[in-house]
Amino acid sequence: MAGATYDIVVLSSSPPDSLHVGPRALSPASPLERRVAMPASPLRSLSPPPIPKRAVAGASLSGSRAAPVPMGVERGFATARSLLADISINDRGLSAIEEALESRRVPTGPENTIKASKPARKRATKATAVDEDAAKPKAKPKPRGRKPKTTSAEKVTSNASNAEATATTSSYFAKLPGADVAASTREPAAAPPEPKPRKPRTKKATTDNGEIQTTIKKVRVTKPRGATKITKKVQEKAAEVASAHFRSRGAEHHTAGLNQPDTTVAGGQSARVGDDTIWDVPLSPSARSNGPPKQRPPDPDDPLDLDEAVSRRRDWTPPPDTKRQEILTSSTGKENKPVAEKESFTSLLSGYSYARMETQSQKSASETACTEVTGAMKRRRLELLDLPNHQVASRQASPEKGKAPKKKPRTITDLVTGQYAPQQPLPDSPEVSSDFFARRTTPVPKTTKVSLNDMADEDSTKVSKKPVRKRSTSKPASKPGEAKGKPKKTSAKAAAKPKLVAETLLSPASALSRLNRQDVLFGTSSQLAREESPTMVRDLQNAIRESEQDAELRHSLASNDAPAFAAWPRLQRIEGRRALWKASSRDDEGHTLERQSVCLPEPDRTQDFPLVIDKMPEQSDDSFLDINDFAPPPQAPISISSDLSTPPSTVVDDNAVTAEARAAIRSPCLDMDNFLSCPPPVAGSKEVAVEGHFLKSSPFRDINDFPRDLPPSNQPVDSSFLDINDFILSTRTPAANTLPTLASTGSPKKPRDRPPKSQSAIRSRVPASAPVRVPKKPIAHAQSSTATSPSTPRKSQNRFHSIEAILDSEDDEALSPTPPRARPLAHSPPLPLVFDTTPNPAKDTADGLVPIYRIPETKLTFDGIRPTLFPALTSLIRSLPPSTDASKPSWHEKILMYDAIVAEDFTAFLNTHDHIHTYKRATQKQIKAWNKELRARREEEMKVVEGEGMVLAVEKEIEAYMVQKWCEEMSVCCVFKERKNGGARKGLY
Amino acid sequence: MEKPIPAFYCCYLLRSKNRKSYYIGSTPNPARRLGQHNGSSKGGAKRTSLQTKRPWEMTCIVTGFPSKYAALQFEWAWQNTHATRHIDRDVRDARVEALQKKTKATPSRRRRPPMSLEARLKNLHFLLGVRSFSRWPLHVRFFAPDIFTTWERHTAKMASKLRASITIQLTPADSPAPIADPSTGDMTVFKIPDVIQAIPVAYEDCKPHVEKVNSLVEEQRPRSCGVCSTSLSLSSGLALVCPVATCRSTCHLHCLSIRFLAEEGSQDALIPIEGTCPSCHTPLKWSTLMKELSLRTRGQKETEAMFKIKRRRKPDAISESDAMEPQELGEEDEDLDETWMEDVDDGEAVATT
Repeated sequence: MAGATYDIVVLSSSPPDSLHVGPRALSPASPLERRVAMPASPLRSLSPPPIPKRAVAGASLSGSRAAPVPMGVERGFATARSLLADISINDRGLSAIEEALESRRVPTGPENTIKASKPARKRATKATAVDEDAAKPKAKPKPRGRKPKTTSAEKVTSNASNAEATATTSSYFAKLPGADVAASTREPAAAPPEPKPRKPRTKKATTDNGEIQTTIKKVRVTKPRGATKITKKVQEKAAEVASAHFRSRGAEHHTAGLNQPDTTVAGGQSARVGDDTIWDVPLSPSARSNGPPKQRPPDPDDPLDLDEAVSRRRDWTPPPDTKRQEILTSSTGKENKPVAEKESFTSLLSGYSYARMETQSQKSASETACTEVTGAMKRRRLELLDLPNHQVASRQASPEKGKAPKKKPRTITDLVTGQYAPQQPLPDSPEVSSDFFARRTTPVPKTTKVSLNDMADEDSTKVSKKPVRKRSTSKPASKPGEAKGKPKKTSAKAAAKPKLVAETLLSPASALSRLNRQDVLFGTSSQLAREESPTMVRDLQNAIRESEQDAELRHSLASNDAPAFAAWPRLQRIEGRRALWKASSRDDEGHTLERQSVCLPEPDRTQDFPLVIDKMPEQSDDSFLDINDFAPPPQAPISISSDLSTPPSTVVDDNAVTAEARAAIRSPCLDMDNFLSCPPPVAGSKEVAVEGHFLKSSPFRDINDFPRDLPPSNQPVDSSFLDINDFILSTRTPAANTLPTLASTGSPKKPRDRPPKSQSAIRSRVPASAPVRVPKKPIAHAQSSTATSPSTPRKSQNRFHSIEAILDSEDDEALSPTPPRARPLAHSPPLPLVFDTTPNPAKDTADGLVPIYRIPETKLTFDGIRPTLFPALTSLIRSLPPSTDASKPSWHEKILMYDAIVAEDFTAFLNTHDHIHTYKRATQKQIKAWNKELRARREEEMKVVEGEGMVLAVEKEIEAYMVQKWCEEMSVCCVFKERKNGGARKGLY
Repeated sequence: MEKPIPAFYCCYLLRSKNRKSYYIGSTPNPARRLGQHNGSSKGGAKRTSLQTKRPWEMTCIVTGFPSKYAALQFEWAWQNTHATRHIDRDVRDARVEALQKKTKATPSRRRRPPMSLEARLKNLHFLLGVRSFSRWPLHVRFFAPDIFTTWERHTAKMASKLRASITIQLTPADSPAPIADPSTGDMTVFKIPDVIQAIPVAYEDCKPHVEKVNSLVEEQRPRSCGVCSTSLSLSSGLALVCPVATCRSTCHLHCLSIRFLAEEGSQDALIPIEGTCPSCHTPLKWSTLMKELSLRTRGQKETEAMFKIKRRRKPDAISESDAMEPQELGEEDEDLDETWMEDVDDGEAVATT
């Protein structure tokens, strides 16, 4: 409204072009100052407020010719936005302003047209210049303008209640101060506002089809301008306006039931509209366009601004910093909406406008288009981010929101850990939805507000709805995608982690066990991700265990050989090691194992057996202790049974079935999971049907199998882990204690075929994730299958052998001490040998009787020994016999042939000659040893008296740098092979 | 297999025609290298890539390096005379201060002092007399008369004179004149002076020598050392043959070196510089004998190439040096970045402590 009134005044005064330009230029610069100081802002706000605020979006403003004007406008709008944020004020103010403007416009129409025509021309020129000059700089001033606009909006509301004339006067005053330089205050003031509104209008017209909408928008813009001016003059009025806004917000959709001020404003608007259509379309439209674009852009962003604005209002004195921030945020967010509005307005206006205006509009349109695209992109991004982050508070759309969703668990570890704090993913999706709704609602009210301001609520609502829809569409498209993606991800995660569900169902004891297993799951997460049925893995492991049990049973039955049992546990433990984490825990386990091993006698092997079988690490540990001490054989079978999920069968059947199952399992294992597959083959190799194991297995199944079934992946891993731990312990202990026995018994029985299998299995175990393992595994399976078919005690022994081989490989990989290796390789004798060898080297070090020389202290230094060393070197070289082979010249001949002497090699050669040496101070130990020797020889001990300048020294090899110095002395080209800290070239110089 | 003594290796001092900047480098083929520095072919040192400093003029070269490593060591020492290990530290520092007449208390020893032409020439003179290089078969050749006069003026004042066997000669070369590039018409291509183009960079000098030795070897006659009179095998042992065509004397490497050193009177040295043939008493350069010996013992490829190309080229009377060019192209020019001294200093510090 105010803007329209201002325009009129200016027209009457007929401001010169120069004046117009001046104010624009001033406006951008001034806004900064004004922003800081409240009073200054209102004046300037009059001219720039409408456009700049919307232009804030950035490109549009800069692109628009009226960039300077928009700057001011934006300022006013920004403030208006804050005011609007408080709510009712905006609606009322806009509506009232619009009405007032319409009413005023009708009477003022003629004046406006005349004046408008002049300013329009001026504007066109200015706009072009401004656009070029201040695309970016203008953007800055615009935000400044917004603040004043807010104040202006308040004033406008008050003005609406008062009278149209007051608004005009107020606008003049405001303009006058803003255009201080201009002789005729009215003219300059009018000029700046007009260009700003015109530009936005043109843009808006192009975008928006509805004329009414454009008008409405214009009205809004004008209102903020006036409001800004008014606010500057009278703050009380602003307060009133604010209250009005609140009311309007309470009933956001005020169609016709606007207050009295609204009606007055409407009159003014109608007048303006008439002006636009009839007289100078460009001028009036520009003003109008400024108004509406400002309002609309703020609308989309308003929610954000409003929040801040509300707080500000409550505080009542907004700090400059907060205002600036608000403006910036609003500008980014607002860009999209205002642009569209501007386009619609521009199109409408263009129809009415003169050719100049059209050109301007085209320019602006092109500019706006560019800006719009960028703005749209920005908005989409911002929105997307905002949705996930700010669940409830959608208004405050900030980059932070976007960041948070991105950060959400994408890594495996995050996913796994996220399970423990499972609620996060779920809230995200709901939050997003809520955000969507909130945002939609927020834009809608703004749009509705605009409509209220406009005379035709329906049109405004439509317009508002359109932008909203656009926003909603863009946001929803992006948001839904994100939301969907997130939920999907979460679901996928949840699916991937079946353990969670299982955990909830499980009893506390089972849950604890599962937790332990979950740790295992970490290692197997990759396997889980593969989607292959975890049950397959479990089955494989079970089958393996069963086969192992069978083999053990057979061994026990056929021949009660302790070694056989021991071998089994070893195998299992090895398998367990495959898991990465066990490696970390090995030390502790190893300690326990060692203790156990000490306690364990030969019969313990059988005991160890059950321990190995135990799937749970904790249980296994406990069992180990117990077993070792008590030697309970039944436990082992029980644990095995628990692992086994296969139905019980007769011994004979078991063999066949197990073999089949193994074959089936093996193939999938190979395909599915390398890790899992590896252990199974080992187990499969141990195919021996045992009646007892079935019986044992059944009770176990009840306990362990069920929970494991839920997390199949976990189970196998856990089992393997447990096995691994057990194996390590068992292997170590037996190795130390039982190795001799094993060697005696096992050596003949162990077939060579199996060792490779065991090795392969070991290989697969250690790397767990290594691709290489896969090929190896299949081989191992095949081998195991072949071996399994003739299940006999001997074969089982063979299996044991294979296990030993595995140990070797493992040893390489892991920490395990040498003893395990020794076992497999050998047979009793080698083991002790190995142990013996280790201590031997230590013994060797001690000796060494170094002759001590009593030399002058100076000879310890290179410079001191140089006079004697160099001639020695020279004579040595000269004395070298000539070589008889031309291809192998002596060092002397090399030197004669100008060869570049490699210092290192030459030094090494020289050090082979005893008389080429230097000295270094002898250590006390060396001196003692030498004196002891001398005493033995009954010679006088070597002693050095302080101050004599003599030292006891031992011979020392010459060093390369000495040789280099000698070479330099002899004009021999000497190079170093390689320098430690540099390329080979450095040695050259 | 080690390489034989290169046919040619030199260090050179470039002078920018447009500015008073200088560049020290080394190359087995100065003509080609100068073209690189002046941008007519790829591979020029970065320091010489500034177009405003072109053309570079090769003012002088130090020739006779018995190996690439020797040339590189000398190059670096010349570039970093203030830091080279071939000069004792105290002497070095004293020289730096002397050469830097406006001394500011030597802020950091490692920093290369600004090097004027005079200082560079003085450094060259000093290095030629340093123990590390004093017995190398080096020679200096000037192409720029003004620089030669500067050298003369300054070296006259130097207390230490170069040994007489180091030849200092001036072969004035035309200053580099821009040539219009036929393809582009640019004046950025500079002609390589004929004097530099004519520098023999192949083994043509020792070709007669090699041919003679080959003929002697083919005779397969039992020979005796001209010094010790013991038997000698040209084909298997390390025997030296007098390059004089009419002289048939052969000597053990070991024996002749001792004889030469005795003639020189430098009993402490290991490597002789020059001497006279025990048979024909022709003054001989040790380096000449060594080049032939190295070609015979290690330069199978080079010798073959030398003769092979010669046969092919015989019809066209093109100089053998041209014929040898392709082979030389394979050798890379070693350019020491002038910031190397820090690194080397480290090594040197270790060596001297």
